[in-house]
Amino acid sequence: MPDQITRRLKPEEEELRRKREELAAIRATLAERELELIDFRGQLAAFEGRYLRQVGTLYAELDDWKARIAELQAKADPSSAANARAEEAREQARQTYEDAHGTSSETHDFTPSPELRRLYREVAKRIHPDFATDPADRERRTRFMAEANRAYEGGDSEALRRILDEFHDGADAVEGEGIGAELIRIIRQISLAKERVAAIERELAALREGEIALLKKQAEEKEQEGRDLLAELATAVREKIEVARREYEALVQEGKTA
Amino acid sequence: MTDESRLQVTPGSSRGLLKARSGLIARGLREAAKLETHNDPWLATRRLAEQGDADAQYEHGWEYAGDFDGGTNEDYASAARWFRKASEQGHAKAQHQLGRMYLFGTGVIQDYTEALKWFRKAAVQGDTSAQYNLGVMYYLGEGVPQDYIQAHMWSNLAARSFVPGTFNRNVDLIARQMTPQQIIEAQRLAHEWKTKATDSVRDEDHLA
Repeated sequence: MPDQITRRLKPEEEELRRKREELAAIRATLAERELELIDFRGQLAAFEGRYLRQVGTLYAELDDWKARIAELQAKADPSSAANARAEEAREQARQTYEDAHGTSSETHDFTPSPELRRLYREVAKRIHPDFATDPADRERRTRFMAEANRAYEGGDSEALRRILDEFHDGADAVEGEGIGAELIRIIRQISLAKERVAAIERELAALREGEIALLKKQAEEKEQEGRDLLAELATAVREKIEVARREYEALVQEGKTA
Repeated sequence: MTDESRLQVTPGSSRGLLKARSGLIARGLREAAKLETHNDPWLATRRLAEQGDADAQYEHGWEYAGDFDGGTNEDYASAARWFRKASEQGHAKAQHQLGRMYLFGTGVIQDYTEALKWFRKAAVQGDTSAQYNLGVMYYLGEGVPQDYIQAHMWSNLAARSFVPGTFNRNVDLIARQMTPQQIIEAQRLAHEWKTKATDSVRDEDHLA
């Protein structure tokens, strides 16, 4: 093919081409990692919701009995120590109730469809704030991204499509930008994206070591053995409630005879 | 751009995980760890206990009580519950443990009358530890008017079943507070009880 002329790229053009490729690759990686993170958080939140509904509410009940017992004891023996114990127990019961019945308890299991995940990946690739060209653009992207997160968690693929439609990025080049400026911008974007990937890794690691992830892992191991950890925990706590209830009733009886 | 400001865009932030001030998740983890130690033998005892087997109920009570060291109040309350189930079926060792829990207020509210009741039930069945504790309660007048004759009688019965040592010392200590007539009366009661106990085999629970 002797007629084919390939115009040789100037060194800075060659460098720009390489950096653009690198940016494209890191965009894909970053999108994948963001997806992994949001999925993992979603799974944890769903498990946490299940735990709070199945077990947390029982702990709230148990703590209420304990507070009632402490209050009865304080009534029978109104020392300052007994009163302090009763107040402490009541406060604990209040907090447990709040946590067990709070918004976190309303999170339900959610399996994102492949299409939803594809859309989210696309959004993250195009809209991620780390690929902003200036502070104003970054702010705009942050808003879009936050909206996309909500849409994803709500399983709303229509909203994700709308976000992609509405978001007009300045393509890969900014008008009037010279090669040198573009090179600097891309290098900066690559570095930000790499930092973000590292931050995601750290966050994933922290989440994996968190209490809720540990509990979830144990539940999964039990499931392999055909057991139901949350149900077993619920049984154990119910037993404690039963003990506390009887103790309370014994105290009431004692109060009557005394 | 600080790392912090960048983290604000973390996906998933709208669905923050619970910051459990009340330690709800940690409690679940601790309970799960306990379930883990409840391996199959534990479950086997548990099932038997639930089916009403007095020995299993007694064993299961110990599984909660441990060595009465470092357990939580909830554990001790569970222990007391299983000891009681076995006790109500006339299990002497369980009755003794339940008595101890009432004596020290472990897992139950301290109650000398209850402690005395369960020690007595176990003591008349020949449980030496219960006889010993019953003797001490009579001696100190805990949950019952002080009664050296009863104290001597039960301590004496306990001492006979043990190798010489602590238990004999108790008998001597009590004897020092008594008149010779009282000691003779206490020894007679002990002897009588011993003879009766060997005749009628351990159904005196109902007499107590």
